[in-house]
Amino acid sequence: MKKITYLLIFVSTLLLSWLLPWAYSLNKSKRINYPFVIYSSINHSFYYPLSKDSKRTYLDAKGKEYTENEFHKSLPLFYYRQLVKDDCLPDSINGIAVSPKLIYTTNFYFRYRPSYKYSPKIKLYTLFESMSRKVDLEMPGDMFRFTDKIEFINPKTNKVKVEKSNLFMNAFNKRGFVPPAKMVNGNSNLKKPYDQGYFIVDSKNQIFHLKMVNGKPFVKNTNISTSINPKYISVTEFPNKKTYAFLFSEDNHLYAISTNNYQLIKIPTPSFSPKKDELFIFGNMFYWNVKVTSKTGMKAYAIETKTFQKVDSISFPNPNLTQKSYFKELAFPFTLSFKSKNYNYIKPHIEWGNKLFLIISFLLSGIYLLLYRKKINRYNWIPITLWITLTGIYGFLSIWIIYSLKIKL
Amino acid sequence: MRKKILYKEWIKTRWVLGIVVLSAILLHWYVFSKIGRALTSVGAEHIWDVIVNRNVFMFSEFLYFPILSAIIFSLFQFIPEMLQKRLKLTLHLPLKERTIILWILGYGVISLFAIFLVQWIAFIYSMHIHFPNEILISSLITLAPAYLSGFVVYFMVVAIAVEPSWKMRIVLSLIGIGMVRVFFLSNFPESYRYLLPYLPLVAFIAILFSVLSIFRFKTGVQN
Repeated sequence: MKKITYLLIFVSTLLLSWLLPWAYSLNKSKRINYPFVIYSSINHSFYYPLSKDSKRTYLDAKGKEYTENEFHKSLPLFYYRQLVKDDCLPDSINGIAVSPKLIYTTNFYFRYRPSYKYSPKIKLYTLFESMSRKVDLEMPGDMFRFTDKIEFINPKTNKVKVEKSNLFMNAFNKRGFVPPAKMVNGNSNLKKPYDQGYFIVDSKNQIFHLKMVNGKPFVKNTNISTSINPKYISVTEFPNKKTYAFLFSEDNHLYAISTNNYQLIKIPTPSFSPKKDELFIFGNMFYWNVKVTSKTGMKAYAIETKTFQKVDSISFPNPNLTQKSYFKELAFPFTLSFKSKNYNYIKPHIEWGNKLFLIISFLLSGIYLLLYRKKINRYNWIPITLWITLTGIYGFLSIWIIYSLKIKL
Repeated sequence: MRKKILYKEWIKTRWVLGIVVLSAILLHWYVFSKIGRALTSVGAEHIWDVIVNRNVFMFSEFLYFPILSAIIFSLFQFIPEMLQKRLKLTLHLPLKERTIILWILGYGVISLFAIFLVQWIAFIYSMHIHFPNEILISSLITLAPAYLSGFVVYFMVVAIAVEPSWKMRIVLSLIGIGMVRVFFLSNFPESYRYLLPYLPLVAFIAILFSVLSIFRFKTGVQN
């Protein structure tokens, strides 16, 4: 029976280590809004708006303040629509004639969050017709799976389209594909401007490009070095058609797969881990703004579009690192949680608090020994004191509940 | 003697068992006629697309069936015993206490398991007609925690119903809510893929709590 008593204490301690920090954090906003920085193609400096006490100021990297209109004029490639409305869009920037259409087609936005990769995914894919004569893309009438071989399935009948599957698999075999497919990356969203197909990694780390052109397979070995070892590939489908995809390598580097014969271009980024950090890129005809948001803060690079060389950088530290919640760190020796913004899986995760929690734990152990000196015996005081010391407030509350309710165990 | 214990449990629960089975049949009919209508009205390709690319779980009606059936079933099995104070009598039958408890709880668990199993077989059969294995397996992984939680609820309701002390009942209720909450933290399809193998451990802990309550009841713990 005593063993069940310990089980009761163990389970309630675990539940408290999950629910107490959760309840504490309910009224604490965790979201940190870093300023939206953009590198000015005109003034060659980072600019950002800053909101404080419902007042919005517009600053550059040196802290100089601007009016809203000056701010828009400094970032014409981002605020071009506003400038067109105000009749302020310059005819040329850095000696190059610009128009709203040119800016629209050369601008692109790319966002990566760890949850994009670390999420459950049903391994079925839609391959659109890449040379569609229609304005909008259309559903192709099948979905494909790809492990040892590619198989197109007709949703109407739930049967494999044998002829189409064989046609596409033969195209892969001809290009030297070695099954199984380790990774199939593409964009199944129907509402995209055009289709760039899929990038498929085989068992030998070779990367193949798959498209459907006029109903026929287009399969090409990209000949990207097998030593790259891709961790994640995101097909871009930007209006400028300069890149096929972004590739995250195993050693946490970012590459762009260029539409110029699948040339791999290494993109300089602040230190970045696809497992934990967010990446955002706003690119225009002169500069790419590459931003990485991590636990330590946000760091942005300005990269020249032509040379892919870093020209400037700016960083904002995480304000929570300087304004620590000592109450939480000391009161909660550890925090059990099941969810994370970095993945869509339910997984137990323990976050350790400050080691100084031991002071509180010893204090709680002392209170326990003092309060319940009559109830404890020579057999149980050692494990219970040890448990309170290790688990702090959680263990103490569990034991306190049992004693204070006078539950006979 | 064992047969008689089972017969007694059957007499107590046959009506509720019938109701649970009937609601399982109605639920299955409702969900799959809804899916059938959707497949004919918007097309199978669109439904597949919504499931695969927009992470919509189309069978969420099944998620709360195990909990509800476990609550109803365990209450019908144990409340009459508690109200008419028969459980103590049963525990004094000329059989080992452990054997009696095993047969009573075993009856409940096997009944629930049988209902859930038949429901899953019907689900797999119906899914197999309209959807590929990838969607079927993903749906089963999404449903599995909810069905496992049915067993946790069964054991925790038994523990709370049989528990002689009101204070301990409150503690067990809070622990039970916390334990069951672990099974319903996300609606995202397949989000329990990695935790699923460890969830039976929670059910095992719930078994220990129900056994604890039965022993406390037998020894006549009072507060």
